Amino acid sequence: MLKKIFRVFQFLLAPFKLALIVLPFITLMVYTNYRIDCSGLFQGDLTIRTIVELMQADKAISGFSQMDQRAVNDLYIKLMPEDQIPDTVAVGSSRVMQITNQVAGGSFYNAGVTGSDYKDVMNSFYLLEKYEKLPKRLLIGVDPWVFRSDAIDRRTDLELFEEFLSVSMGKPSDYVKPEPSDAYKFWDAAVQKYTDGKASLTTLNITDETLPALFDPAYFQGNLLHYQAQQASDSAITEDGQVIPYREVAEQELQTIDEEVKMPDGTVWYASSFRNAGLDEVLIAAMGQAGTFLYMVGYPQLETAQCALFEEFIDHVQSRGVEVVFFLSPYHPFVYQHVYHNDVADHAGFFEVEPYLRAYAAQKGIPVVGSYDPEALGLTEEDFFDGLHVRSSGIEKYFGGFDPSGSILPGTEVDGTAPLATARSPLAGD
Amino acid sequence: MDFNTLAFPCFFAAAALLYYCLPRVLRPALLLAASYLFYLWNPQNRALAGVLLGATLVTWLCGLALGRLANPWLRRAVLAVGCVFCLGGLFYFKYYNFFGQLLGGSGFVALKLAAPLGLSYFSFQSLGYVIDCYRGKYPPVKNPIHYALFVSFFPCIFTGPIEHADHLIPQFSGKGRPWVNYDDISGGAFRMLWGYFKKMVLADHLAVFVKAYYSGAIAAGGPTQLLAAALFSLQLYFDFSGCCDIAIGGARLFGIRLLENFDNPFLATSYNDLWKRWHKSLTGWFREYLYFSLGGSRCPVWRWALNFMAVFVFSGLWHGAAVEYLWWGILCGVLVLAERLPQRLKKEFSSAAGGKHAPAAASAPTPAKPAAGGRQLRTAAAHRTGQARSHAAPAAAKESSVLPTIGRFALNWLLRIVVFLEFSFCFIFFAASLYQAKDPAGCYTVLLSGWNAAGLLAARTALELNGFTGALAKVLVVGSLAVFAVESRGNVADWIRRQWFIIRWPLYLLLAAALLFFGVFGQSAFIYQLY
Repeated sequence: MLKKIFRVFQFLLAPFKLALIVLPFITLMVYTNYRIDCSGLFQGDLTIRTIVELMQADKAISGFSQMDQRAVNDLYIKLMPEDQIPDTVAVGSSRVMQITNQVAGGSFYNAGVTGSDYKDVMNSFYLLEKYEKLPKRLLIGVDPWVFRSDAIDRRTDLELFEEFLSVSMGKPSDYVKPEPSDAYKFWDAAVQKYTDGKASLTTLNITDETLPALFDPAYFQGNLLHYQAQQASDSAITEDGQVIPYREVAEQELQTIDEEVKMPDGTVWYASSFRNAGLDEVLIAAMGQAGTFLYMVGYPQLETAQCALFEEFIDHVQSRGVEVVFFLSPYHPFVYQHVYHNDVADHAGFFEVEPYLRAYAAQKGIPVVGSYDPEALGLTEEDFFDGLHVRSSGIEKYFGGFDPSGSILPGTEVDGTAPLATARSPLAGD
Repeated sequence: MDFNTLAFPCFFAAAALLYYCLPRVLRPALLLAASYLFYLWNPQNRALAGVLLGATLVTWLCGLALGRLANPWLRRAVLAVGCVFCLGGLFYFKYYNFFGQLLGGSGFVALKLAAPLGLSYFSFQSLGYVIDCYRGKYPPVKNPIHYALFVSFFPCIFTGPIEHADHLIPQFSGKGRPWVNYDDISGGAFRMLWGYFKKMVLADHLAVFVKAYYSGAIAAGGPTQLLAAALFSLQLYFDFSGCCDIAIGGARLFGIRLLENFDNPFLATSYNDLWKRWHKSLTGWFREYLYFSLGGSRCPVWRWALNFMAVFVFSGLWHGAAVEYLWWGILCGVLVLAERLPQRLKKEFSSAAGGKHAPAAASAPTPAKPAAGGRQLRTAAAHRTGQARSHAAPAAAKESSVLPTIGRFALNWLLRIVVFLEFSFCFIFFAASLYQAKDPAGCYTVLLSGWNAAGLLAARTALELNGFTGALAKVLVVGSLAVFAVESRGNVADWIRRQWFIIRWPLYLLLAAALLFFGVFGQSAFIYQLY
């Protein structure tokens, strides 16, 4: 009898013994796969992660022009600590990327991306919304091509936009919300139960597709090899062992470095040759840009459908309790003069944007900072890098940033509050 | 489902848990359901499940018929039906294209045939049953569930061991066994872990170099070729015996003992001895159903030699429908025959002189099988004989008792090295076919070239470039030696149960750690799964 009882006891003990052997290894594997994550399944792509980690450490990073800025934004916002959500976030194209922390004042992050179109603007907000990092204020750099439906940058994340339309705006789109697998639901429930609901697989950046990788021994071995290689290397390396071409740029190096630098506040610091270009060089660049007039050639009138979408977007932003500020970045005086006097009918829609925007802003009580017309802001050729991009010093002339209460401060050159001026329009007499 | 996928441990754990929750009478049904689930998991097998079902049904009915019929002609007819069905399926799926191309020449139109996995194993297993019933070795199995489970038992359906009905089926009922045997569970689980270590840590890493060499990625040269051949022998042993360890350990976890397939083959001191220790279930099958059927050794020398060669030729073809396998079989047969022929001739002459009869079964190419009725006893006997052989001094040493102990020891090891090289030499054809080398015969001529400092350096560099550096190289060397050392002590599952806790547990953890840190995951199937 005793022998039988002992046999049953031994049998019942067997699974626990097995667990004692297996569990430490599974725990080590899951932890390593999640933390080292050389393929960037949970922590983001290694290259992007390197950039974001440097940004979070308040470092400037070289190689801005090679960066996938949209991916950097995505990961930066995803990994942004809850207690460091900025009061103000700027979205828009490179034309807002000179609004620095110093210019805006307070806690600020510039989520602008080069070549931003209307989908990018909305995507940037959606990232803040999706990762629950909504700021108090959204400074929207409204470029005129935001109202042009065919002005789409090739780098735009179209899938994310479809997701935004469907999930946030409730509009019909191609996006299909994935149904989590049973395994995912099981582990998600387990994590939530274990952490009293403080964490879930989603907050741990674990998706249905990446969940199996946590338990993949081959991925574990890959992570160990990557860790070893990283320890043996002075530079950050990719999964394939290639050196990541982004490095920290020291503050004293900024004045001399001849490549674009990503600043920790999200703005861009241009190459020294571009920053120190003479007026003639700037004018030559502006002349070229006046001829092509980015995205605005062949735009005879404002698209009402785009205006409707934009207004829906603004309503949605405001409905999430986020204050909206429109920021109009001026063009170089030569560019504005050129398009003002030449072939107006071809780009007449451009001149309709600012009046429409001001009228809409007035109706909704949204502050408007700046103007497309540099003359209206009192800017001269010295305030520009080229035909499209105004210097920080130029911005400071008409935008003094936000005070702690959130009010917009006037610029250094003008007296009063924004908006300061109305753009000249060749259509005014019509 | 492959043994070395993550799905298998999950499947296996679920099956084992259910197995021990059920009353004994229902356990065979559960194992049968699990076996078919295991088999049909692979999409390739789903379309061809009828082959397994057909083989099971036809051979079971043949067995029943043979149990009832007394007329010898009718019995022969039933035997023929069983043979045609089993061998016909095997021939159609595996050899139709091969023989068609061989005989039909350029006009032959090959069929796109995908053989069901495990076909060679379950065909031989069920055919063996029909032949045994014909010979009246045991009564036919009446329980269809037990018989279907015998044919499809999942631990051994893809890679063997090729079982005998009188050994396996009586175990399904569980009579005479306790409800649960902890030693079986613990020993079985350890043996599975041992098998995974051999396959995923040792064999799969050795395969990197071997595959690179035979696929032409490494420059050919005598030393490199010899290295590739030697490493392939080790790889094949670790791969196949590892797979058998998983199968035998898995079955043991259910309280079922499968036949052993290996008995320290690289400790053999003669090539003939090696073949008695290598893939014992297959050589045993050929010996019992082919060699003896052809007359065995109770015939003139020339016919005995032909019978001998037939076993190796068919064994070669069993491995694959390719000329290289045929040559491999012939080469092995010739080498064994070269070893055996002088002994046989000596006995012939002495018997002619003394008027004695030549020895019969004792001179078969594989060890004599225990009496058919032995069933449970057979395993124990096999274990006993296996262990006895492992510990016993090799025959050559026994005979040379005049030699001092150290001299005998050195001679034995020298013989083992020679036999290992002989084995590796033969398996060049095998490896060339497996890895589709462009010029299999050329691999032999390469062996003679490049024996200089540059050639040796090239071999070493090739080895290092294919991962044999740092910690991995140490793990491979120490791991291989540890495997040989432990296995020379007998059955691994029994060995671990005899060890103290302080040896057992670190070994469990060490093996698990080696698997996690050095195992190759999800990249290669077991070699013998292809056959």
